[in-house]
Amino acid sequence: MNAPRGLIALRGLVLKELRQVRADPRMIPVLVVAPILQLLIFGYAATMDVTRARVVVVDRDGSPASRALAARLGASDSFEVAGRADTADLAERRLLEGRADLSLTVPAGYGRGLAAGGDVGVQFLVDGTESTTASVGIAGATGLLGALAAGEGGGPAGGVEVRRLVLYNPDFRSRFFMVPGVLAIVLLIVTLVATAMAVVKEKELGTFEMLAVTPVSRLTLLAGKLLPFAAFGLLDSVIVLLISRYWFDVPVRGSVLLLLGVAFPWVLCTLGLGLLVSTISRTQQQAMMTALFLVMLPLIYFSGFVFPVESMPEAVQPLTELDPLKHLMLVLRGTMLRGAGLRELWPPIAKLAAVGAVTFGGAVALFRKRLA
Amino acid sequence: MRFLAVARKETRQISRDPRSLAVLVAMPAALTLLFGTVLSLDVKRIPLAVLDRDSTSASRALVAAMTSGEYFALAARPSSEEELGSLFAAGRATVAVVVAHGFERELSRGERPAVQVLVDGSNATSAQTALGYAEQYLAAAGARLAGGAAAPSPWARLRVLYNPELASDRFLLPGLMAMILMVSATVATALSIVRERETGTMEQLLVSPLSAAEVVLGKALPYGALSLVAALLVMATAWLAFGLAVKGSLLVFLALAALFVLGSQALGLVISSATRSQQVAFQLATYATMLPAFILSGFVFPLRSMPEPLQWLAALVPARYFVSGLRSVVLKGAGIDVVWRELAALAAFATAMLAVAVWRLGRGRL
Repeated sequence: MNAPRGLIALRGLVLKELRQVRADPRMIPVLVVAPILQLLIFGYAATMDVTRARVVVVDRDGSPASRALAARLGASDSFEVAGRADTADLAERRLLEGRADLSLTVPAGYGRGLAAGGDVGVQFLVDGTESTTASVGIAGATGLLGALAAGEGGGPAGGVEVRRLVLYNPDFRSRFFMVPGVLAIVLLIVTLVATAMAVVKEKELGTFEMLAVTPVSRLTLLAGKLLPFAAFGLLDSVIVLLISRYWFDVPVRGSVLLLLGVAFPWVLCTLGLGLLVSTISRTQQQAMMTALFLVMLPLIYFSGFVFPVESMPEAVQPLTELDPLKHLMLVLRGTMLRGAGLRELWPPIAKLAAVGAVTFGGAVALFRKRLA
Repeated sequence: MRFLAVARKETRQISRDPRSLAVLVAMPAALTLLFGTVLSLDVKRIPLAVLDRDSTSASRALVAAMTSGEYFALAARPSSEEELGSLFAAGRATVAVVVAHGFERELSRGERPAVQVLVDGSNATSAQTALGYAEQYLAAAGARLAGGAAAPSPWARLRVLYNPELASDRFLLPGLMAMILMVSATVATALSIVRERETGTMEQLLVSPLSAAEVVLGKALPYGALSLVAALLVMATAWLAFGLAVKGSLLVFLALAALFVLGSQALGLVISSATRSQQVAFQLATYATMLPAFILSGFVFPLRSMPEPLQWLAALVPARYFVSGLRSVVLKGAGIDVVWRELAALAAFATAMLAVAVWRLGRGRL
C-alpha cells in the first residue's frame, strides 16, 4: 500500500530535480559540456611522450669520424642536434639556460684513436632536471654508443641475445594509458560535484526543510535527489567512452558490458562521497572547497593516474587501497588496453564495490542522522 | 598612500576570520606535504614474472641479476605461457623474462642463446624505461656469464648535472608548488571582493573618495603578503620534508614567487569583477587556475610534446613561467641572468591583469 505511494513520490521528486537542472543555466554545461571538454583537452595535453632530446655538440676533433658520430646522433629517433658549441663550458651554459637537454663532447684525437683501434670515448653531460627526458636521453646515448662499439669493435657485445616483445601498446603511445584515466576523473568530477551542490543548495535555500516535512520518507527523498545524478553519470560514461574510442582511437579490447557494469559501483562511490560532502557542509562554497581539496585532489593523486602506485613510499601504498579511483582505473585500463575480463579483474571490482557500499551506506546513515 | 588604509582594513578583516587565514597560509604547505609524498614518476619495483624453462645455475644467475637492483621485484613464477598471459592481462606483471630450455648448454658452447623479454606497453612511459633496464641487466649478466667481453670502444662517459639521481620528485615539486599557490591566491582574492559585494560593503568603499587603483592595491597588498608567506612555507616544507633546497639565490626565488602571486591575485580580481556570487567566483577561479596550472604548466606533461595550439595556449599560463623559473633557480642554481625571461613574463602577466582589474573597477563593476 505504501510502495506505490512511495513510487509516485519518487517520480515527482525526480521530475522536480530534472526541472531544477533545466531551470539552472549553469547545470547543463557542468553536467554534460564540461566532461566532454575536459576529456578533449586532457586527451591532447596529457601525453608523456618524450620528444627528441636536444643535444649540443662540442666537436674538438673535427675528424670525419667525429662528424659521422654527430650525424648519427641527429639521425636517431631519440635526439635532435640543437646547435654546436666551441667549448664544454659554453655547452654547459646552454644546459643551464634550458636550451638543450644534453651535450656531447668529442675529444681531440677521437678519429685517430678509433682508426688505430685504440681505447677512445666521448663525454655526455645530461641535464637531470626533467628526469623523464633525461632518462630517455641517457638510454639513447648508451644505446647509440653500444651499437657503434659493437659495429666497429667487431663481434657481439654480450653473451646472450635479448629479444623484446611489447604487448598491448607496441608503439608506446602514452595516450592509450592516459585517456582511460582521464575518463575516470571526468566521471568523478561530474557526479561528485553535482551531487554535493544539489543537496547543499537546498540546504542553503532552506527548501530542504520543506521537503523534509512532507510525508515522503527520508530514503525516498534521498533516492529522488540522487537518481537523476546517477543517470547523468551513466550518460556521461557512455558519451566519454565513445569519444575515447572513436576520437582518440583508444582500443576497447575487453567487454563493453564489463565497462558499463563497473560504472554502477563507481557511481555508488561518487554519489556516496557527494552526499557525505554535502552532509558535512553548510554552504555551497564549503561544499566546493571540501569536494575539491579534501576529496577530489587526494583521490586523483593517490590513484596512480600519473604517479605510479609502485613508486610511492611503501608506507603510503596500502592507503591507496581506499581510493576507489585507483580500482576504477585498474579496471578501465585492464579492460580497454589489455582485454582483461572478470577472471583477471575481479579483485579491483570487488574492492570498488566494497568501497562504494561502505561510502554510500555511511553517507546515507550520516545523512539520516543529521536530518533527524 | 590612502591604499594603506584599505590594506589596514583588509588586514583587520582577515585577522577576524582565523579559518580563512589558516586556509590561505597553512593549507598550501599542508597540501605540498600530502601530495609530495606520492609525487614520483620513478620506475621502481616493477612487477617481474619469470618463466625459467632451463632451471640451471646459469639461468638462475640471470634471473638473480634482474632482481638484484631496486628496479624489478619478482612477482610470479608462472609455469606456462598461458599462465604468463593471464598474469599480464591482470596487470600483475609488467615485465616477463622467458629463458628457453638449453640456455646453459648453449652458453657453455659459446653460442648466443636467446632470452625473451616481454613488456606490457600499456603504460608507455614506464614500459619504455622498464624495457631499457631489463635489456641492460640481461646483456650485462649474459656477458658476465659468457666469461666477460672486452671493454667496448668507443665508450661513453655520462655525467648528470643538477639532479644526478634523476629523482623525479625534484622535478615535480616546483609544479606542485605552482599549482597550489596559484589556486589559493586566486581563490582567496576573488572571494574577498565578491564577499564585500554580497554583503553590500563594496558600495561603501566605492562611494568613498578612494580611486579604483587604490582599492585594488589596498586589497591586493595584505593578501599578497600572506600568499608570499605561504610560498615561503611551501618552500620550507619542500626543503624539510623532501630535501629540496634552493640552490640559487633566495632573492631570485622570492622575486619569482612575488610576481607569480601578484599575477594570480590580479587574476582573482578580474574574476571577481565578472561574477556576482561567491559560488560562481569560486568555480570560475578554480577552473581558471587548477586545470591550466596542472596540465599546461609543464608540471607533469612536457609542453614540447603537446600539439602546437596547446603550446600557444600554454604561453598565456603564468604557472608555466613560474615552474620553469623555479626549476632553474631551485634545481640548477641559475641566477637572474638566466631567469630574467621568466621574471619578465610573470611581470607582464601581473601588469596586464592589474590593468584589467583597475579598468573594470573604474567602470563600477568590481
